[in-house]
Amino acid sequence: MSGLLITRVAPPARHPRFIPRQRLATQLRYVIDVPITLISAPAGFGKTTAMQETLHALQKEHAAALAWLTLDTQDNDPVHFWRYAALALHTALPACGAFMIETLAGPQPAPVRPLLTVTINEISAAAQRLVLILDNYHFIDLPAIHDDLTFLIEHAPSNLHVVLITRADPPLPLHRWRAQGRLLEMRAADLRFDQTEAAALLNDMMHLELSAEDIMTLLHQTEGWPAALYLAGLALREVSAVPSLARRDYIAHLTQSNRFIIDYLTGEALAHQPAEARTFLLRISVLDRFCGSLCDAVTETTGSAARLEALAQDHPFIIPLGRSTPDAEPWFRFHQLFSDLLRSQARLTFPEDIAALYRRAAAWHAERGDVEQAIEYAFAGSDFAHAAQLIERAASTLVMEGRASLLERWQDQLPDAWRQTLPRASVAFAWALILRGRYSEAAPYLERAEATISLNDPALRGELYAARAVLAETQGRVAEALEHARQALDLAPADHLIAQAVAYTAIAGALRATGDVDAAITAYEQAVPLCQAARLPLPALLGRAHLGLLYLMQGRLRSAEAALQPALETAVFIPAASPVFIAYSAILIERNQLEDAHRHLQHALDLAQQSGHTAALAQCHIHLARLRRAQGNLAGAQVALDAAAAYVAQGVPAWIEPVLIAERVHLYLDQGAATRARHVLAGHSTAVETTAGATREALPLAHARLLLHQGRSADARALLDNILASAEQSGRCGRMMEALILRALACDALNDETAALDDLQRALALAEPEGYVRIFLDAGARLARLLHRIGSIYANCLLAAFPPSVRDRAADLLELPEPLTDRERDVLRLMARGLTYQQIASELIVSVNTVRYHVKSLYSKLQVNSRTLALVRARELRLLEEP
Amino acid sequence: MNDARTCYTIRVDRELGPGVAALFPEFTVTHDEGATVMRGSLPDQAALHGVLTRIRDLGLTLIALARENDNSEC
Repeated sequence: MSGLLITRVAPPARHPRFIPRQRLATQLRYVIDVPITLISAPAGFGKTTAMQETLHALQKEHAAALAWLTLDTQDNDPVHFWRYAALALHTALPACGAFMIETLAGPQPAPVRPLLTVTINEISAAAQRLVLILDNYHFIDLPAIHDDLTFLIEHAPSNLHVVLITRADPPLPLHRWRAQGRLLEMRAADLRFDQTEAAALLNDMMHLELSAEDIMTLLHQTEGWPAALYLAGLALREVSAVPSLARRDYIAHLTQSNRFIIDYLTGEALAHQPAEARTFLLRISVLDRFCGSLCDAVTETTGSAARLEALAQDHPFIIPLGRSTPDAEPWFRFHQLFSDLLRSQARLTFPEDIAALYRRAAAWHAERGDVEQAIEYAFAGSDFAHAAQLIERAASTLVMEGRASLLERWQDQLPDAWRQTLPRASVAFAWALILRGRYSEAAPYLERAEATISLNDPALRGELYAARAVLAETQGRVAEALEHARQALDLAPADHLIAQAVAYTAIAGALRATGDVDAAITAYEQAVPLCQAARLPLPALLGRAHLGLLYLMQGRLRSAEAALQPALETAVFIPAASPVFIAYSAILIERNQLEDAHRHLQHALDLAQQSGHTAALAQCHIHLARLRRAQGNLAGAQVALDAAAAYVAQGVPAWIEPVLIAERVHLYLDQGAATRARHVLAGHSTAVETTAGATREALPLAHARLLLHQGRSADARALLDNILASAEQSGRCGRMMEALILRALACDALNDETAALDDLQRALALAEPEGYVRIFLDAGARLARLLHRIGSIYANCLLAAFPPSVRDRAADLLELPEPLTDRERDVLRLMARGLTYQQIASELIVSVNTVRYHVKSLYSKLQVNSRTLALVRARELRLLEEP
Repeated sequence: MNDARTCYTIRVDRELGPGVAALFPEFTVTHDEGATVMRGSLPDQAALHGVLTRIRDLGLTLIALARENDNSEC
C-alpha cells in the first residue's frame, strides 16, 4: 500500500472561502436512497464542493463510511483505477478492499471482475452504509473501467452508494438506471447560483455591499456560473476602493461585454496582482501539484511556502491538497479551469522559459525519488535525455508494480533514437509481456535489449537470459531453456529475485519435459519460494500445480497435498491458475473423495474456460473422464474424453496426449470394448525403452491393461516387469504402484497366487502411508479377491470402499478352490453360448481334444460333472461376467 | 480512410480572449457578434474529440460544429 498516495483517497480539504449551499446538500442527502448518483456539470460549477458539503450529514444521519477518490489522467488503467478505488474503500471501511489491493499489486495483477465480487461481498457483510465518491470521472475513457463500474453498480449491495462527479456524462447505462429510478442526478441547472447564494457570496463573504439589482445583473451575465461569479467578485473588490459609482460602471461594463467571462476576469485578476506575484503564478502554472519548496526550485526564488499560504487563503482557484504526513509541507493545485488559462497566458508571456520550468520541476521530483512525476515533467519540457535516463531507472519497478501500461506509454512517447538507448526498459517490458503470457511479442524487445546492453552489466544480462529461458521453455525448446537459465543464474546477482525465480522455473519446466522427475521436483521446490518472494503469483501457483502432479507420479500423495493446499486460496480467482485445481482434484480422486474432487475440478474447468487455455481445458476434461469413470458414469466419461480430444487436436504440450490415450484405453476396457481399445493404442509405441518424457509410463501401462483384458496374461506380466524396472529406477512410486497392481492381476490369472500376493503387498506398502484408495478400486473384483486373501487392516479398509456388488462377487470368487485359467474362461463362455466342442475348437483355433482337456479341468474346479450343472455353478459364481 | 486533414468550423458562445484562443493553436479564431468562430484542419476524429474535450474542460458553451467541404482550404 506504500506505493499509493494517501492524499488522493481523502476528501479534498474544504476551502476557507466557501458558501454554504443548503439546498444542494438537502438534495444530495438522497444519495443514500439510490445505488448511483451523477453530479454532471462543466468546470467551476462547485460539484466537488456540493458533495463535500453533504458528507457531514451522511456521516451524522446515516453513520455512513465515506470513500473518496480524486481521479486524474493516469488512472485510465483498470488495475491502477481499481487499486485506488479499493484503497479508498479500505480507508473508509477497513473490512473492505484489502484483498483487492493485495491481489492487484505485483507484476501479475489478477483480473478485476472476480475481485469486485469479493469486494461486493465484503461491503454487503459490513452492513454499514458506504458511499464511494469518484471525483473527476471524466478523465476515465477506457471501456473496461466503465464496464467494471457498471458491474459494481448493478450488483451493489443495498448499503453501497456510488457518486460520480464529472464534467461529461459517462457512457454508462444512465438511461436504464434513470428509468428504474435508481439514479439521482445533479446537473448544471441545479448547481447555478441563485440570488440568495450570490448575495451570500458577494455581500456576506466578500463584503461588496451590492444592491439586489446589481446581484441580479451579475447573475444574469454569468448565468449563475459559480466560478465566474467569484471572479467577478474579486474584480469588483479591486475596484471597490473607488466610490460605488465606479462599481456600477464596472458591472455595466461587464454586462455589455461579449467576452468569455472566465477568460476576461482571470486576465483582470492577474492584472491587479503585483508584477512579482503575477510572474510567480504564471511560472508555477505549469505544475500539476505544487508545494513551497517545489515552487522555490521552479521559480528560482525563496519564500514560496508563505506566498502559497496567503494565495490559498484568498483565492478559491488554489486548492489545498493536504499533507502526506502531519509535519510535511502542504500541497496545492490550481482549479483546472484556471490552470489552463494561466498556462496559456504563461506560454504567451514567456514562451522560451517554459521548457526550463518543466526541467527544473523534473529535477526536483527526480531528486526526491518521485521518478514518475519527474518523467512526466521531463517529457513536458522535451528533455528526452532526462526522460530516457529516468525511464531506465524506473522500468523494473514499474513492471513489478503491475504498471507496464505506463511504461508502454512512455516508450511510445520517446523518439525512436532515444528508445534504442534503453536496454533496461526493453528487458523490463519483455518481462511485462512474458508475465502476461504474451510470449511472441516479447522476443523483439529482448533483441533490442541485447543489441544495446552494456558488457559490464552482468545483472541485466542475467535478467535477459532468464527471459530467454522462459521463452524457450514455454515454446518447448528444452536444451535452449536449460542453457539460458544456467547462464542467467551465473550472471544475475543473488538478490535479483525475479531473475532467480524465473530461471529456476524455466529449469524446472525443462527438467519436467525431459521426464527427470526428481530433478524437476528439486528445481520447483527452489523456484516456488523464489517466485513468492519476487511477487510473481502465477509462476508460484503453476509451480505448485506442477509439483503436485510430479509428487503424484512419485506416489507422494501427502507431499502433493502439502504443495497444493497453500495455493488453493490464492488461485481461486486467477483463470491461468486452473492447473492448481486440476492437480488438487487428482489427489482427491486418489483418496476416493469423489464429490470434493468434482467440486474442485468444476472450478478448474470454470477458470480454464475463462482463460481459454487449451492445455488446461484438455487436462480438465481428461481428469473429468477419470472422475466419471470412478463414479461409474461411463457415458459421461466418454463425452468428457471427446471434448479433451478436441482440445488436444488444437495443440497442447506433448506430454498431455499419452495421458489422454491411456484414459481412453481404460474407459474402453471398462466398457468391454477391447477392440476399440486396441485401435486407440495402434500406431503408438508402448515399449518402455522408446517412450520418454514426463508421462513415459502412461502408454505402456495402458497396453498392459489391454493385454490383461485380452487374457494375454503372460505378455502383460512381461511388459509390466519392464515398466516396473523403469519406474523403480527413476523413483516414480506412483507408477510402480499402478504396475504392481496390474502385475498382481496378471500373476493371479496365471495361477501364480504367491507372486500376485507379493506384488499386492508391495503396492499396499507404498500406498498405505500416503492414503491411496482409488487405484485399488479401479482394478475391480479380482483385485478385491486378492485383498481378501491379504486381510490386513488397510486391505480391509480398501475392501470396505468397494461398491457392495463388487464385494459380493469377490466373496463368491473366493469359494472357487482354484481360479480358472484364461483359456478355461474362454471355453466356459463359449459353452454358455451353446456351442458344441467342435464349434468351440474352431472358434479358439485348437483341437477338439484340447477343448475336452479344458472342459475336464473346468468341471473339476467347479466340482460338477455335466455341462448344465457347470453353467449353473458358473452363473452362481458370476464367472460369465467380465471381470 | 485517407490521411488528408479535414477542415472544421467550431462555434462557441462568447468572444474568447487571446489567452483562451492560444489553447486552440490548430485554429484561427475570429469573433462574430458575441460568439467565437474557430476554423482549422485536423488529422482525424481523435484529434477532433481532443478539441471538444478542451472546450468542455474550459467550460465553454459549444454552439455548432461543422465539417467543411472536402476541397476547401483552411
